[in-house]
Amino acid sequence: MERSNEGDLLEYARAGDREAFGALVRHYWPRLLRWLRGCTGQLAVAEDLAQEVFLKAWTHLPTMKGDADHFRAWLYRIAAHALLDWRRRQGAQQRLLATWSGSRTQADVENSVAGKELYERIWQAVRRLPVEYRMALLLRVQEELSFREIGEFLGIPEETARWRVFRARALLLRQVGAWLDDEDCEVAVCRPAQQAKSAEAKAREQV
Amino acid sequence: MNCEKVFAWLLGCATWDQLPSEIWHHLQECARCRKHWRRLIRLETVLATESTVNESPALENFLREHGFAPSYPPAQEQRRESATTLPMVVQSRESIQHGSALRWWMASLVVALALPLGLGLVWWLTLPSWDTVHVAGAIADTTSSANPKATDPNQSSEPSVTPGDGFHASSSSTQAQTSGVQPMQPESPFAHSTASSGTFPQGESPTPPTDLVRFLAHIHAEVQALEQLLQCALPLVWENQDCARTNHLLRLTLCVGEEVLRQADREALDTLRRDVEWFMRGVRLAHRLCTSGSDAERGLRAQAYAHRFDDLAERARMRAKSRPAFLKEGLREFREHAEQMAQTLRKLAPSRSYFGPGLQPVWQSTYPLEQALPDATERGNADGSPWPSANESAWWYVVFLGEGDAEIAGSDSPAAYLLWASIGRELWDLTMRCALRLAEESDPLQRMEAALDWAEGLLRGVAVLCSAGPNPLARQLSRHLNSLLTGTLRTNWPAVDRVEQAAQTSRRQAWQRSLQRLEDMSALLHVGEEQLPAEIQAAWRSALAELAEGITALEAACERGLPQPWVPRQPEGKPLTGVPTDPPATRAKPPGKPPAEPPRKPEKSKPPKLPFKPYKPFPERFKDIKDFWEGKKR
Repeated sequence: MERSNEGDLLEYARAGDREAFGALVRHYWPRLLRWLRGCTGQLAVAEDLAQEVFLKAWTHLPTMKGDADHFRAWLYRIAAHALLDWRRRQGAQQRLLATWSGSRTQADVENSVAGKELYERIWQAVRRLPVEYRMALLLRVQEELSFREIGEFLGIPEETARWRVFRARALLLRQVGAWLDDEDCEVAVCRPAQQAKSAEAKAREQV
Repeated sequence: MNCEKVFAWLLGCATWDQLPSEIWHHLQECARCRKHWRRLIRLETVLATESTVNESPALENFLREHGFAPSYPPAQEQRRESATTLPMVVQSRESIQHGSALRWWMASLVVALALPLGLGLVWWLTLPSWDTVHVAGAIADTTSSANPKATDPNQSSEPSVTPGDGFHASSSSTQAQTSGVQPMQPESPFAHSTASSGTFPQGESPTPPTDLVRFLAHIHAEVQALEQLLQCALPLVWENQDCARTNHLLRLTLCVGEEVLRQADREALDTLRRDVEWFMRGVRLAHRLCTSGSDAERGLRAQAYAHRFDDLAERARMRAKSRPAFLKEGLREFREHAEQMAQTLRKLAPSRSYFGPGLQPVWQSTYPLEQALPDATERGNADGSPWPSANESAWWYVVFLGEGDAEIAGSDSPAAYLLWASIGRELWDLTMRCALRLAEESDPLQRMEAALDWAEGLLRGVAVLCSAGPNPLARQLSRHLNSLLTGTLRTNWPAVDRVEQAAQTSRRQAWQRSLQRLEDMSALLHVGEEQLPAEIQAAWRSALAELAEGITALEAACERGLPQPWVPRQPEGKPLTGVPTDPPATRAKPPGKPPAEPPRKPEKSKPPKLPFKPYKPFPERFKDIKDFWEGKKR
């Protein structure tokens, strides 16, 4: 979706056009659902939360300040609040069950590029992270947001976002680090390294 | 730059595409940091490959339900209805965009022009004379009165009728009338079964059962399952012989095994796991009892059960093939334990059968309720019928296969069934926990404590069920409680405690605690009706009627008091040593001249002394029952 188009849709939606808002929902639904699913670990819960988020967005759309550039951050901020509310509602036991039961389908596991066991272990470790860390990490990894954007999305300072991602990575490495030592990943790892090497060589030539 | 700083930089950086030269040099030299870096990249690669959910039915449902989907004819009505449920803040705004405003303005202009024109045209066409108009109105009145549908308020109140449905309905009824076939009239939900020729509904698909019927059928099956479990478990209360208890334990385990297979049919994973767990505990205990005892007959008597466990294992294997994959793990565990148990039993007695002429079944004379003997020759009904476990206790049997005009179990007291649904699982677990403990223990004190735990749980179950008014479930549970109380007080509440440590203080205190529990239970059963809520009284009275024998046994036990330590008879001339002082009845009298008997007074007929006051307040132990009845605790 182009920016201008998104801006028009947002303006129409603010004026009460439901179809325009439906187009926005259709655009943001998959990514938001993926993020919520990663944070909650349950697809059904993520779908419920996504519906709740978009309904809240529709209700409060006239009061939204800013233009289309801020809409995405605003939407994710609503989602973050909904997620924290959901987590508060959940008892400790249910959280534990949700952590261990998982909800990924077999197809998800088999279609992933990583091995099934590694994939499951990593996601189990992610679900064991504190939800604040989980939210920040998944925004960084899946949405490829900068720390400033993560802070804007979650309503926290940039440094706090950086610290949360830092802590999440450290905790994950501590939990599943040994499982990540695989010879197959040499190719994937070498690629950015080679890119960096070539960039450095270019810089030397220029110097 | 050292490793620590590099590692911290890697953890906190936004992207690794452009590494600073210092980091890059360090990574080239340090294998450890390179390893960390590689791990981080792989970790984030895995997390980033989580696919998005592009085709989500929830999205389409959400868009359609709340009117965010693009407009198309079938969704218009739904959109209009659901839109009213949403907050109207946005719609009432005056800042409507020009495009949509123009569209609405033009549409309203067209309607405004077309409406007077159409009305004028109609008026002009129907104008001919006042007489014609009057007659036409009269005909219209008679037509409408002759047609019941026209006077149906439901029909007339509908703002619009779907054209397709109305057309098909009228044409089909017309065709039916012209061909001489009576059109189908709306009937009761079970009308299909009366129209069918046989026992089962045939021909067209039957009317789908209501949720209540399914629910009642399901709870009825649960009730039947617990009934069977209680029948198998209660003999463990009053069976003193280890050998006989092992047999009962095996029967109990088989009963749980049948329940596992039933839950597999229902595809209820959680319940299946729980039942498999109980089955495994039962098998382990039975294995220990069968192999560790010295009774030579134990294995012989248990040998007949080997076939039954084989049968269970085979049926579990079949279900694992035909049922969904998520049940396989539980069924595999179940099958392995059943096979292991069968193997153990077969090893114990390879040649003789329990059903020989000289051996009597141990359970035949114990429990008064009807029991089915295990058949050593029958291999189960797994292959015999299209529905392997088809019987009347299966919930789907009642719904899909049962006779339609038969009375649905529980339809007269659905509230009690609803309450049962909330406590049935706890009763099941309580029964299994206490039964396994009773099968294992030989000490009467331990057995008494287990039986009291069980009895208190059943009593609470009766109390909960009584809050639904008089109902068969409460009476049924009361009957089992009656058997439990009479059995345990007859067997496990001896007058003399023959255990070696009977005189120890701790044991005496334990007996005292059991006596206190008995007194509390007795006090609860004697609470005056005026202390109960009005809606409980009738149900509680009918439940107590089933408990008459148990209450009598309870009163007798309370009156008799604690079991006294057994004093071995000493040879004459030697002083008694180690005799406890508390039982005065057993103390030896000193030799000497017997005292002169006092003159006898005329005996008055005293009423029998009750061990408690007739109308005690609610015992503190069962205060939760009172709170439940009074609605304080739900």
